[in-house]
Amino acid sequence: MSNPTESSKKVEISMRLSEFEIPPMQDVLIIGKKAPIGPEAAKRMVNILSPDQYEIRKTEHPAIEAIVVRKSLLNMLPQDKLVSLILEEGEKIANETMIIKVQLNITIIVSKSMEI
Amino acid sequence: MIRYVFDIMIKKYSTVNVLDGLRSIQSLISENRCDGFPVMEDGQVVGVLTYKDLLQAHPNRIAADAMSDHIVYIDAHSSIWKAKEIFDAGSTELLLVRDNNQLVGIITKSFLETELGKHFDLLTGLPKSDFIYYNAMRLIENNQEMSFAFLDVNNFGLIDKQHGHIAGDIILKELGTILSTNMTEQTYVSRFGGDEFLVLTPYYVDQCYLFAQNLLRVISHYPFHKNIPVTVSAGIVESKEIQENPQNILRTISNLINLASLASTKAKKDKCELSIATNYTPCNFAG
Repeated sequence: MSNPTESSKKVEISMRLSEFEIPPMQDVLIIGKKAPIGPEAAKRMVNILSPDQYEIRKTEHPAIEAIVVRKSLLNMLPQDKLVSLILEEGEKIANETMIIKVQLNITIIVSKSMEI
Repeated sequence: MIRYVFDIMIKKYSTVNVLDGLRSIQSLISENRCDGFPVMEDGQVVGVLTYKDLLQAHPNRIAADAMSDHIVYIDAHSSIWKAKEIFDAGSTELLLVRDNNQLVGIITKSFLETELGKHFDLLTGLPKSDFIYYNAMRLIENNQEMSFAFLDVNNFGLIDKQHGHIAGDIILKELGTILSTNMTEQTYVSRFGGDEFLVLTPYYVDQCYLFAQNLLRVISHYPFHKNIPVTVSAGIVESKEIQENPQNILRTISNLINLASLASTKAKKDKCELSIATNYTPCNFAG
């Protein structure tokens, strides 16, 4: 007697290849107070991967413990304004357990007029 | 007499590295039965980590992200009451003990509380006399005036005989409550032993006299258990000579307390409630 049921196994593989970002964060990292990675760990990670490029800012925010910011951004804008802007937008989506990666583009538009 | 930090500190303590994960540190707690650690980096203490910190932080974090970088040291030769003062101030849950600039031990708040339990009288809830010794030494160090009032219940043996020892215990408990509620921020009371209480004030003798007089007045008006009449005799002594003789401070304090106790006996004999002793006779008394 033949077996009425037939079985087979297949495997499908899909691959997505992309370049590894160094560091694996962009311009800003918002770190919640109960996030699995704390600001000190994040700082050490980025300092090993991209030495001296990021700065850590502890906050007094109820849910956000700190933000890690690319130093060059802090040179482009007044630091307090930039930090409060990041917190203002970050707190809308972040809670204390989250780590949020932020891409931040700053374009400075200069317009001058001069007499000819 | 006075217990020092060195006597009670945890000598076999563990340290953790700043990069250690909190999960592994949690297992250290159950293994070592110790709930606080100095956090080290490159051989230096960079923070402290307590059980409370571990509870508040995500277990995936490293020690650096859960520790407090507020490090509080205490000298190994400090009194345990000094350690209590630091913990009561609320800035830390773990003290690092130093001797000659070397880290020699740690004390956690919960550990100290367990130890201090032995220094409180179970019946009255008042501290025992080493608390008074510590505060007297502190007054001396600050060049402050100080006076002792030694309070002794009159005919307490008779109260025990006539009303029973349970009634006697209730009265002692009530006395403890009266005295502790009538202390100021600068005055201290302890149960010295049996039916005796010791009060330390930062006052000159005349002010201490008024302070003790007020205590006796409050006691005499208090409706004690079964309306048993309770009166107390007090002996008072002040120190003027201690600054001239900084050595043997503990012995000097003992002499003063002894003198105050003799003055209370004199007050009892003379039926005058309060008796003041002077500084010069006590040394003869105490030998």
